[in-house]
Amino acid sequence: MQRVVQLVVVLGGVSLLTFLILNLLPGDPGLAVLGDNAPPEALEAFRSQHGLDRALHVRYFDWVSGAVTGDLGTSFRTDQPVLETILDRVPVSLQIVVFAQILALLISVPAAIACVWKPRSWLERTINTSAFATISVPNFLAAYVLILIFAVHLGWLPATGFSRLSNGVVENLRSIALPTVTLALSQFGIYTRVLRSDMVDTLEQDYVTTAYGKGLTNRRILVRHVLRGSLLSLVTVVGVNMGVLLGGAVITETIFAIPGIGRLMIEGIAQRDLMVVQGVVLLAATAYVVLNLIVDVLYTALDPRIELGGQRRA
Amino acid sequence: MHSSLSPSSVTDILEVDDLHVDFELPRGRLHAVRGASFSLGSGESLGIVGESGSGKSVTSRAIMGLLPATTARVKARTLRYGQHDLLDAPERVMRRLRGGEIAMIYQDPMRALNPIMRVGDQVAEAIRAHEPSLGRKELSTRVVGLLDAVRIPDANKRIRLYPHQLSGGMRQRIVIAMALAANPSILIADEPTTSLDVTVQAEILDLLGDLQEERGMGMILVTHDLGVAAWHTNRIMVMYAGRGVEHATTADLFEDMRMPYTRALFDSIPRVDMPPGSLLKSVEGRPVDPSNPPPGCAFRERCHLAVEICGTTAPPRRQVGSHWWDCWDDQEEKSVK
Ligand SMILES: Nc1ncnc2c1ncn2[C@@H]1O[C@H](COP(=O)(O)OP(=O)(O)OP(=O)(O)O)[C@@H](O)[C@H]1O
Ligand SMILES: [Mg+2]
Repeated sequence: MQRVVQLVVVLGGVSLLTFLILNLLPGDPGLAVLGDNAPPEALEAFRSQHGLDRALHVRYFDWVSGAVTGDLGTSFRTDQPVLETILDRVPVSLQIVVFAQILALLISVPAAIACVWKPRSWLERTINTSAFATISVPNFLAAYVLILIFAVHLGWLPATGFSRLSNGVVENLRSIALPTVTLALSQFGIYTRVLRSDMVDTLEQDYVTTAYGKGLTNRRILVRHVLRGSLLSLVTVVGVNMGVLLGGAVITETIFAIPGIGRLMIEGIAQRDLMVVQGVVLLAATAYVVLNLIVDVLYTALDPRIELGGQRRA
Repeated sequence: MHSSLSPSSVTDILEVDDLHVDFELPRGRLHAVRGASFSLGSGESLGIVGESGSGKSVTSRAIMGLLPATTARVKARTLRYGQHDLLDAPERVMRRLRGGEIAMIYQDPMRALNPIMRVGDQVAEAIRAHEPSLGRKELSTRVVGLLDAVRIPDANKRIRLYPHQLSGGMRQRIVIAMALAANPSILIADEPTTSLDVTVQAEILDLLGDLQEERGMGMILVTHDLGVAAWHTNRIMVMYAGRGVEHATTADLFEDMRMPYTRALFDSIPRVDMPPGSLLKSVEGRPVDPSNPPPGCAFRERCHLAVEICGTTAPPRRQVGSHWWDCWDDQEEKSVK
């Protein structure tokens, strides 16, 4: 219940802020859409068609009350319902982000385990170095390097563009391969380090000594006790990251020409399509809040001492 | 008190001779154990008594091979269980011994148990480690059986709980059940009641005593309370600053305490005849700093019988039968001028 109130407050705040910032920004959307030489009558007609001639607070409440019922208004440029445009783009971003998270975790979790399994080994040093490297290399650079190698040089994968699932699974997967790997790389380093650092702490816990005292194998102890006891921070970071990326993996989507949410937002800003930008921000905020909720639920599943709402007992 | 076994009637299954444990820490080397020697016969119960920091837990962990490999340096003339040299047994063998032959009960059951794993699973895992082929059903029967054995009522329901949902006494019973899981020959109980309510302490100690006798296990009962050791052991070794300083059969020790430190520990035992609310006397003074031990006898600074030689030369070991102690006590008379 408390959560629901929180959700309403956050979304209310976000909607108000984006609305104000976008609408108080200088620049006339009409000019942007119709061109600099548009006659004044046309501009006037545009303004009244989209209700821009009304007072600010009237427009805000109009937008919000529409949003509550799922109506995010219509695009200034295409006259399409904003919600429809967004829903068209969501699966594209979602697929890439989810695949990237899965890929990043598939590498990070074993990598972190390897680090605590063989501390001070060449394996740990290699993992550490690559984790550090992927954190320090900017995303766009990684993207260009990948394109250069796999698209230009080897010619295995398309450099840019997106093929919908309806055009065939293989084509679809080929088209998202590079952006997915780019995103996964940028997460891999962070996830590995977060998880490793927690596992090193957990390793010091008395219950891990108890586990060794039972005569369990190293492997079982690392997975059942150390890994299981070290997932909270990782879950938090993954949740936050997902939220951020769903709001638009802007750079990646732009470089690879992926028609996702990030690109939609950039286009909307460039064209001063206020309704689209407002809609995307609101959607991103919702995704963020919902993901946090999911993270909280995962907490209680991961640690029985935590009750929904966040406090940990004894 | 248990009937005391004469030392020759049992064969020693555990032998510790001149055990040293150093910790290499960033701020220097810490000598936690410096020459502890004792042995344990099968079915026998040995008390190791000493105040906080005297190296009791480190000694226990050294036997189990549970000290952190990165910082702890363990040396000994002998550290043997049965035929196994515990100092350089391969990891595979140590794994079989841990839990399977030598099991441990820890000081603080809340921290010894995994907070996010059901207690039943934690017991099951201890059985499985040594009997991997056990079927699921058999396994859960065994778990419930163990919980019954440590007198946990409603075992069927309790196995599904997490440690924080149990009381301190129940948690320690779970830890004991875990230790018994693979029928070990030796139980090392490291201050099993220190973190518990006074009312539960006696229950747990009685339980341990009964289990030890029923199962014919050897037991090392580590405690800082000479009174606790008196009730549950055949022999006692008193430890101070990482060394054994006096050792005797329990009966002999209480008849004739030779080392002043043992006497001081004895005087700090809580007694029934004390007026209610009176403060417990603990051993006066502070323990020595294990990273910088003084020359001579480590207890000298706190000993009111100390004479000059105690500060310069380590005391000799005196021995009468199986009773031994380290002290310059025969110098006393000479020093009184
Ligand atoms: N893992 C460790 N790393 C570094 N020093 C340690 C470690 N474990 C124990 N020590 C040190 O070794 C010394 C002996 O500790 P130990 O835990 O054996 O004492 P104890 O006799 O069990 O006391 P207590 O009654 O408080 O449990 C102490 O000075 C302690 O700080
Ligand atoms: Mg201890």
